[in-house]
Amino acid sequence: MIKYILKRLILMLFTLFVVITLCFMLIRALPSSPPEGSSLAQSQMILERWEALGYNKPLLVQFGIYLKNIFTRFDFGTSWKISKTQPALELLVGRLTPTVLVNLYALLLSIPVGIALGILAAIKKNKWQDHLISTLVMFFVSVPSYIYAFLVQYFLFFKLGWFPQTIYSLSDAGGWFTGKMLYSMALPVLALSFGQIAGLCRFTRAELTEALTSDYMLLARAKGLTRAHATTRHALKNAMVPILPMIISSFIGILGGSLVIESIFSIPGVGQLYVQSVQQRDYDVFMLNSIFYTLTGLLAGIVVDISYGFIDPRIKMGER
Amino acid sequence: MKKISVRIFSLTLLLCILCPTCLCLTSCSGRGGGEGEYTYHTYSSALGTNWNPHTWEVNADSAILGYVSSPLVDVSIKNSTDGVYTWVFEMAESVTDVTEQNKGDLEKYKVTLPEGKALSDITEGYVFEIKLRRSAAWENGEEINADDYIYSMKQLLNPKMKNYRANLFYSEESALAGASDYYFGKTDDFGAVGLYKVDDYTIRYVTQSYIDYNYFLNSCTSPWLVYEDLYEAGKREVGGLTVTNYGTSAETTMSCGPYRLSSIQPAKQAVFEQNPEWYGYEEEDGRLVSYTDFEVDGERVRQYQTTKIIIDVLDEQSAKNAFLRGELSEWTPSADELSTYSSSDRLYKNSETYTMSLFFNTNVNTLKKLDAQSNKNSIVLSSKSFRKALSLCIDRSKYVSATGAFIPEYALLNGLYFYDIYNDPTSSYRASNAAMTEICKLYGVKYGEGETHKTLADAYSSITGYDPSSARALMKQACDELAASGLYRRGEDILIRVGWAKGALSADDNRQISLLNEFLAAAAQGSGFGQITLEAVGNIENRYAAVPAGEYAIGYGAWGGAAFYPFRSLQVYMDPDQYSINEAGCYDPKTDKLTLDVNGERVTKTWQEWSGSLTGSGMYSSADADTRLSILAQLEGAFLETYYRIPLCSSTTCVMLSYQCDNYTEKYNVMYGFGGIRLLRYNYDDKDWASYIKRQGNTLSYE
Repeated sequence: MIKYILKRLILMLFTLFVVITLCFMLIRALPSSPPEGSSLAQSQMILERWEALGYNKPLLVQFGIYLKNIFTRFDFGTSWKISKTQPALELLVGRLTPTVLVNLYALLLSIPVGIALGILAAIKKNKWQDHLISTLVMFFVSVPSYIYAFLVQYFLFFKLGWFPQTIYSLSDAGGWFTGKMLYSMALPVLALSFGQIAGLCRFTRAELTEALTSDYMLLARAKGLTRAHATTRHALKNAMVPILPMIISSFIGILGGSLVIESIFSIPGVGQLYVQSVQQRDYDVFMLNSIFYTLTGLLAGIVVDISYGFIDPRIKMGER
Repeated sequence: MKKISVRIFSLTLLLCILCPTCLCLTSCSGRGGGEGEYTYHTYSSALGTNWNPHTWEVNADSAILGYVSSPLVDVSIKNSTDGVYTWVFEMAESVTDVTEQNKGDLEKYKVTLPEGKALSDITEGYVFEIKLRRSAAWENGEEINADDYIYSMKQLLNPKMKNYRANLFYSEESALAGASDYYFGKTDDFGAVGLYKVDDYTIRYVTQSYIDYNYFLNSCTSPWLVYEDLYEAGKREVGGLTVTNYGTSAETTMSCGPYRLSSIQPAKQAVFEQNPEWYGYEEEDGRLVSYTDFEVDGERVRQYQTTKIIIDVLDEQSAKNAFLRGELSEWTPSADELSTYSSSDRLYKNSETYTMSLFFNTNVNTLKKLDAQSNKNSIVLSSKSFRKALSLCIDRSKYVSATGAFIPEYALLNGLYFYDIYNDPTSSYRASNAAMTEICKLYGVKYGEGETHKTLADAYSSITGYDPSSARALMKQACDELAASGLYRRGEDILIRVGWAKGALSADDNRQISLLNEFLAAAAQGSGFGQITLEAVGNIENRYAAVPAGEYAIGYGAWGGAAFYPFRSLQVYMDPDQYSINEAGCYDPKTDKLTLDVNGERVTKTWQEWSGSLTGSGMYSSADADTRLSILAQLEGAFLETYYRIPLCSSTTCVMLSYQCDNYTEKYNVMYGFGGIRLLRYNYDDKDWASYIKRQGNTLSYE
């Protein structure tokens, strides 16, 4: 197992290096010029700044300096556009909290509700409850989250006034972990949850339905277990094998953020930051975001793969 | 089994009900203020990130800087009915032209004298003495004196920092003498720069070139003061550059303006509160109040009534929702929304100085190259007849109807420009005889005895820029000329890609381009040209540079300038030493010559020399207003006659203000706008406003 993990980690680092290299070269290959309407004096000044910052050096030299700064000083560069003169790392870390919170709340709401509805639909297979849930699932899976965002904003803020339409600022709420902040996050959490609930519900239903019709369930019933006991002790346990890794990867995915949801609910998160960094050619911020997302994705893959082994001892990692 | 499913269902239901309920219970919403508090709640799609007066770049930065700084001089309303402005001395108690008494400074700082003038001729326009306000202080109570200004300027021009705003002081109209050499490292002695301290509360400012007193006052409206301790504390070296984080957070900001930055959350919200140390406030019943020390419509009025300003980051739809629920003090409707609110008395509308126009690259070789790539027969743009036909075939009234926020334009400078506003507030450039004559000539509108229009004013007001019959005739002429010269084969289709927008194309953009194609199709009928199609292209990093670089044959964009100083505005079309000329693919303003009439004398200069002659130390920079007006009008007319650029429209700004507050005046003036935050008046304090909204059922109607 350790050998497998080490192998995966080495592969992960190699992939990360390739992605970083590509991102570094590609973002700098995009055309970048002084802002439209700049006078020659201003354009000249901007070009001099680029020169002073080393943007005119050969790409490989720039890349070498970039890597050297990371490894020797843990310096991921500076934001020159989005948050002028702020270290890129500081900027990214500052934007992580709201993204993580909104996504975490959405996940905490989605997991119990999604799984519960999935179980109900599986148990009540082909009855009206199953049909109702399946229809709703189809609907919620098909509609993108920004549609819910507009709907919940319109009804729950504009029409009913129950919730604020965007999340509160830190000064309004008094901090990230206050009741007011939690309350203000209600609408984005709901908008994000609908799709997740539907996805989990569909997956749970499918897995549990299969488990309920398995031979071991027949055996369990034959041994005298009630259907309730057989379902909770055997079917649910087996059905959870593919569901749990999915949940684990969702937890890692909460770092990702959603550009559209963040824009609609004015969440100052990493999703927005990433897009802004590309649009504004904020090189160091873009690079750090890319490293962060790539690393998150790769780690999620490893953790999910490893989790199979822990959840189901029959699965041996790295063995033929 | 039934028991389990009932349990699961109940659990799910419980969760669904409990979660929102818990969220509601933990809440205690309400951002509203109380009695006697006046909150101005606005929004932006992006929050400023850099309000350091030396490096700010975009409007969002400038908005924050405006609240936390006081300039030396400001402009406000004297008479709102007649649109008369007044200079307001803020951080300066007075500004005096002391050139006559300090002629030695002219030599010492090596100023540039106007063409044909000697040092002995100079009596004004170079040395200005600024008496600083003694009661001015930073938000921490520390007094502001001459040393602060000298330090700030030294940092602004610091060659190691390469500050974005340094050019205002080394190359623009009010450039400091010697600043250019200091900024470019030709000298490291700041003593060679024309800014020096006379005493603790007096500084003198020596300009590199002649500048009119009023224009100098206008340049004093740009703040450059920074707080030394924070500025220095925030300094660090990045690459070969010295940078500072001054003015990037609440902690690194020191206000000297009427408001202080109490909190800012990047990409989310900025909150400003009254700065108790601002010299203009006095305490009245425990509140900070301020009255103007100048008369507005004959009386001293309350200023800065707003006690708190909040800027939230919101998208368009969220802003609309918030405004209609009374949570925002202002909202800018989109072009599509404008028709709904066009008759609202809460709508404040004003034109902008920018004129949207089509500009071309007419170079035959470039056009041939483009035709070999993505265009088809864009070579037709090399024909002046074709470009003129294009201009005359556009029904600008119909064109602007494609969106709600534009008005038609027929010239480079629109109706907002004034040629002598400091001496004559009614000196509209566009309404002057000289300017009207040139535009009438351009569109072939005649006046006088035996003509349809008896007077110049009548003729000018009849101009629509739309002349379909002339356009058709010119199209035919263009086709004949191009066919004869072998550049175009009759009947072939024409496809020209237009560098249209920096961002993605919007529905408005698509409507506009399809209207242009409609106009072109009508004009080209029977001309010999095949189908003419313009294809708009969006997401262009810098379309202004892309056209002269030969990437596009046509660009679409806007230029504008200082409305009260139009003499510099034509430099963007003619002075390659100041700007990258969009029309550089058409002509060389450094060598191409033009003859104009100056007070009855025919004078020939290059285009660049003409544009420079009106500013700085140019030959006519200190000429009387009428002479400068005449030159400017002829220059504008001559440039439009080349059809290197076709003006189409100018945009307007439309802002809805909530019932909570009113602008001081509804009549927009280019000098003071509607009165600004200084003179904003409130109908309700925050408490009454909250009650009002509740009485309206939490939704307000502004239609």
